[in-house]
Amino acid sequence: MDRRDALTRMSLLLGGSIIGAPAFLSGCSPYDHSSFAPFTPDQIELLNELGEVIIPTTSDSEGAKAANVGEFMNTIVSDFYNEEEQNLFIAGLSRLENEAFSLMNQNEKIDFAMMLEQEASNTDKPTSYLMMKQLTIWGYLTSEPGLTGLFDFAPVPGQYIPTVKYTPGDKVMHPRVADWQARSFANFHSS
Amino acid sequence: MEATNLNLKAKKQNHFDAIVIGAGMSGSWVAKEFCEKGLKTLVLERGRNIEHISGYETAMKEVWEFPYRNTLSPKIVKDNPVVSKCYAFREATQHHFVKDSEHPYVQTKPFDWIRGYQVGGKSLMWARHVQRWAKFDFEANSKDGHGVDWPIRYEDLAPWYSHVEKFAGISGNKDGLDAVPDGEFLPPMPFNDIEKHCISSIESSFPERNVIFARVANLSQPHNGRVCMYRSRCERGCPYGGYFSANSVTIPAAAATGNMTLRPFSVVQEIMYNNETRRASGVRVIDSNTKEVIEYTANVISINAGAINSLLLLMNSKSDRFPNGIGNDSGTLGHYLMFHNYRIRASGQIDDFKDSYFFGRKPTSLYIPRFRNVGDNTQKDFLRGYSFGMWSGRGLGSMDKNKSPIGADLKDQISELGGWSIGMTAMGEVLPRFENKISLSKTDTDEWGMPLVEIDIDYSENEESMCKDMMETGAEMLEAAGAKNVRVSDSKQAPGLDIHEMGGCRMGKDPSTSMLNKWNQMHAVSNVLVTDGACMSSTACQNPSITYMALSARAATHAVEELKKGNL
Repeated sequence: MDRRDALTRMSLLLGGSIIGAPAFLSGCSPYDHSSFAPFTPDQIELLNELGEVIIPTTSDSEGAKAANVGEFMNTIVSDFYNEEEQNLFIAGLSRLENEAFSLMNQNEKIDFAMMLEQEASNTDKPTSYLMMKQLTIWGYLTSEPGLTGLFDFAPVPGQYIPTVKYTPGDKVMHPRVADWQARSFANFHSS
Repeated sequence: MEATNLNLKAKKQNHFDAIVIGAGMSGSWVAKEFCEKGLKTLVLERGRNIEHISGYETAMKEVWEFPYRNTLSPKIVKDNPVVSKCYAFREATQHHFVKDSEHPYVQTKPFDWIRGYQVGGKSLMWARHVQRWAKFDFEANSKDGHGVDWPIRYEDLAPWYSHVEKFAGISGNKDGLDAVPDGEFLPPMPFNDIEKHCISSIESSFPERNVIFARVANLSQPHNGRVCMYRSRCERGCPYGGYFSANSVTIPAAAATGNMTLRPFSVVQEIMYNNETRRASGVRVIDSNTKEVIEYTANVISINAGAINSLLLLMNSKSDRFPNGIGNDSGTLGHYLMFHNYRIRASGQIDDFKDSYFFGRKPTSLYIPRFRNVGDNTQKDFLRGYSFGMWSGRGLGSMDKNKSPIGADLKDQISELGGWSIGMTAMGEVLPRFENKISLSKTDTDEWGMPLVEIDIDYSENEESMCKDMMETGAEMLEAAGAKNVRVSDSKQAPGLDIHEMGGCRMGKDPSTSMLNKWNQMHAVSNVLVTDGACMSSTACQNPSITYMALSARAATHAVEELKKGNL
């Protein structure tokens, strides 16, 4: 499966456009990244906490916080997003700060995230929350905790076994296309 | 007197039996054959050295060790509009590719020139498909009158295909097909369930078409201490030597003889011609680090700089005898440049086989050999034909609206496998045409004083007609395999992205219409060989590298025989 097909398939599956897709494919925008101020350690921690609600630690694998998705978001928002996208993301970050997300208990955090999910599903436009969710999934699915926790990561398979029985829930070999695909989980459940 | 003595000494140190220009796919084979047959050989490479294993700096890195997780940032794409189009140019491999700004060229018409300037050249990052040419491929020019007749036939090259296959290590199945003759194969890698399904469904719907395991230069079993570990990270360089590259196979073999002197950072500016001997006397080199100009002499010189750079070097080697480039009595040098037509892709989804998966990342795919204008099949709209590479795979993501969009439920959904996808890329032959050419800029030079290359090449009507047929046959075969949502696209990509530039210094029987004889020697300068893509008289539709390798080994062996007879 090539990159374009992986993306197209996910886009069809998820029923929506994908944030950053043009740059991902091959086109480019004349981005100017010079004015972007890096997130503070507190902001990165805040993003890690939201990420942990989206992808929590469970019995068999660590979550988004262990993958430090907050730091990853800082890199991508800085180097991949255009100014408009950066401003939208930063507005969402301010909202998390203003709502004192980090002081909420676990159930309140989940309720808050579900409210943001609802907001996102009520509009066709990308929301700051969807950006955060996309980057959480992308960052997690390309992190050591995510790849070794959720999959038989197998960096050196050593052999090819042509047929392996698969049942959903099995811990399978990490697919070759998944690095590209991880980036395209943007609008998961947004439609 | 003293100065004369010094010069003599320098001259002696700078003389070799043979010089090979370019340490990539073809040059490394020439070097190996020369060195193993006892020639003291200087191998000149314009880029840096990359040692097997220790030189593969990203080979063992995991995706999380790359800041952009092995994707391309918008800045890289913006700064490199050409090379970033290449499927293999990623965060993990970008150091193996020439960046757009480093070595400019002139696009008279759009041409995406993908280059690798290092020991190993593009053999480090190639796609590794190695189908032999058919008998009819060598006869095509003669049959329809486009291009000049090849001075060799399949039978001339067959033993040399065997020679290089045995040493490189090729995995494949003996399919018994005229379009892609069988060779010296290690066992094929096994088919998974979806591949078996594609083979049976397509072959039963279209009896004249075959779906086979693409013969591939990855090792299905241990071979000379190397083996494929099914990582599918080939383009980074493989520390297991799992595929053929100059770095892992031919350069080490040449070095082991003790006869090779490898000189990286050596840009060759000119082949020097001696009017009295009517032979090339040597080469003028500029050291790309020190800018020092050095002359080396040799009895035989092989040019393997990568097709377009080989043409540049030949055209820049001017003398009273050859004012239009060395060996260019025919006026064909730089003309009849060719490529492969990779514009058409098709893909679709398969609903079945949800309970089937595999283990290991097989570094190859299926292959559908040419079936148009073969045997009884005659197309009225176009000459020659095309093949398909066919992929299959399963990505991530099971959608379940009844599950929560966050939390443990989300984790399950992003880690479960999605359905299967299958797809094809068409690979079409391109006709040789005089007007497809390179020329040298009269005004602009690079930092080593070489004129910039102007590339002027385009599709013709035959290729356009072939595209239409590719779209129809691609879609009908995916549908025969039961694919849903079949999409067929024409990328309209410029020539070049196929990375199969060929021709410009073609082989032929007649010195008035071609540059090289049947042994890849210049008709007019018999101690100059050209055995990379530049020598090709037509393109066929197979990936060309294995043919370059076979031609190189054959030409080098013949040149050594001629040297020993005193004919060079």
